[in-house]
Amino acid sequence: MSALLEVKGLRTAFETRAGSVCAVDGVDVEVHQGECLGIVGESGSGKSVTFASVMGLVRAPGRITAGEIHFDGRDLRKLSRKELRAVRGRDIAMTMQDALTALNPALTIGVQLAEVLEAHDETLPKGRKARARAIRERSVEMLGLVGIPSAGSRLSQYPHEFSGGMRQRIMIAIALACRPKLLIADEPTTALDVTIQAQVLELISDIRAKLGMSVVLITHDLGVVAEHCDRVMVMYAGQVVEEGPTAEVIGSPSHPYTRGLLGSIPRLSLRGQPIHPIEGQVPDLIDLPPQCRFYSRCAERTDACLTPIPVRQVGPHRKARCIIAGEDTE
Amino acid sequence: MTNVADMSRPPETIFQQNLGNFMRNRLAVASSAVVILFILLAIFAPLIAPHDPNATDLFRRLQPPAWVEGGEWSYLLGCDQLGRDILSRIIYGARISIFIGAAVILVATTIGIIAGLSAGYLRGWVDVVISRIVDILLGFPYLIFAIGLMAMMGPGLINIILALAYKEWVIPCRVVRGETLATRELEYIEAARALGASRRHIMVKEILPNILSPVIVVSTIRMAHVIILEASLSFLGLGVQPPTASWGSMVSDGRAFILESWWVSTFPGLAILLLVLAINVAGQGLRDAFDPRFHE
Repeated sequence: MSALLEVKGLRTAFETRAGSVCAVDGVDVEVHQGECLGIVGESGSGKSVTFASVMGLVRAPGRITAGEIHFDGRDLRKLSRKELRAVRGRDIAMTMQDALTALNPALTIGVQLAEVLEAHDETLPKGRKARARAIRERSVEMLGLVGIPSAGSRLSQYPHEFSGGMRQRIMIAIALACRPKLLIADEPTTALDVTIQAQVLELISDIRAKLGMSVVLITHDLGVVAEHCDRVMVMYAGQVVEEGPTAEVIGSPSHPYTRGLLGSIPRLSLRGQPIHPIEGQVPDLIDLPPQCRFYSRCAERTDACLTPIPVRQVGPHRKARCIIAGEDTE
Repeated sequence: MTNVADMSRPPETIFQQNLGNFMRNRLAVASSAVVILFILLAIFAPLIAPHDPNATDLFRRLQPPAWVEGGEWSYLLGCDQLGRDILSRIIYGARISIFIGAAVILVATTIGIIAGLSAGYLRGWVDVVISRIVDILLGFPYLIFAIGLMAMMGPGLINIILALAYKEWVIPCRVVRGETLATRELEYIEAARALGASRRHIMVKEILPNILSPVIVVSTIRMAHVIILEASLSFLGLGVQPPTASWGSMVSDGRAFILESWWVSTFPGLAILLLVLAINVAGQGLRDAFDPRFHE
């Protein structure tokens, strides 16, 4: 299986007065055709910045300082602004964290759907009337796909006339309008309540199966990952700390941070026992020492952790950035 | 507010709600009516004006208004020093004031929107250049700047519009830049970028519709200001040239006789006052209706 998206050694830094903040530091990502990759980590771990970099959306003072981004055989970092714009929306689409603010309040959703189709869809007929009709048909079809009833009459409505879950669906419809090969869903459920969350994730899984696209699901909810993702990547302080098939990583985490994340989820089966949050804070990303970034919070730290820790293969499909990984697990 | 029980009716757009707010403000609606009345006067001046505004009649020099002894009902507001009907001149003068006010605001707002969007969205050197020009222009006193320009370019309708628009665009530009700076960070702009929208598309199609309300409100209120400036230029003899009727030059004409023939200056002055006041009140009504910060 060849990778649809392959990122190697990506570094993205933000220049601040206090110094350079390396939000993404040497991240490798592979997304294969048709798979769902989950990206987990707490706020500020570099999940969103990694994929904003992939799409070329990082704005000053942020800058990609190193690394390669290959998508579908093309080096995205070498594309001109115009070429990159053609990739965005058509080949790679992204849904934003907050569905409530990600739709333009001044435009009807029909207009917002039409804009993407106008920008990217080359199959549209040339004549003005036929074009308008085709766009309308496609818009209704997309809204139907994401489960919005009586789509035709809702095209002329404004975002504030829809509920949060509906808006998330509309955003997904807009993202999928041009049948992208890869959908990056950046925390698609954080702004929604629990029942709607499940529906939206179900929807993404369904559409992935229907259209055969790949999905990157950025989240901080391991439960979501366990249910919907084939593989998972755990990020911490701008680095990938663990990567592997979902069932294996969640079943037997090899990095202490992953274990910590799993330990801090309340479970019904462990009723009456205290939950164990990870002590301490994410380190300041300015001028990090070369040691393991999880050192200060790690329960299993040793003096050997004070040197740079490389990513190691710890199983047939698993990698971890920890010197004790693969030794004391299982 | 909207009736929650009545779900069969399509919900109002934000614009319709704001318009409803505006219609409930009686003073603002009355002021709008006054503004519209002046606009109608200006458009249909040849049909409404009782006399030719430039026809002189030496037997009616400084004839007082109709209700004062010596006045005539066919010359309602009296005549000036050349025996021209003041009412007719005021009606024709509305054309100049409103046309120049509207033209300056149109030119200035167009430039201001383009400059403000570019500065606010593109940032970088574009922002630095535009913002410094704005700062420099703000440092000049408006009227003195316009007088200087008029002296350089010579009088004339187009030159007045240019002289006033040279500096006026700064006001909408600052409003647009500020609103753009706030809007560009919003999630839906990021979403548009993620969908491959071009910079021009984002500025014109995504940001502009969202910031138009404050721009319209500011432009309306500034129009009153421009009308006063035009009157000031005409008062100083730098504006529209005689014999064309302009409120500013009419006030200036009556200066010499203000004690014995007060009506020559007073009525055009009142016309300026009434129109500017009406535009300001209507503009503030618009602001109250369209700016959510003023909603209770």
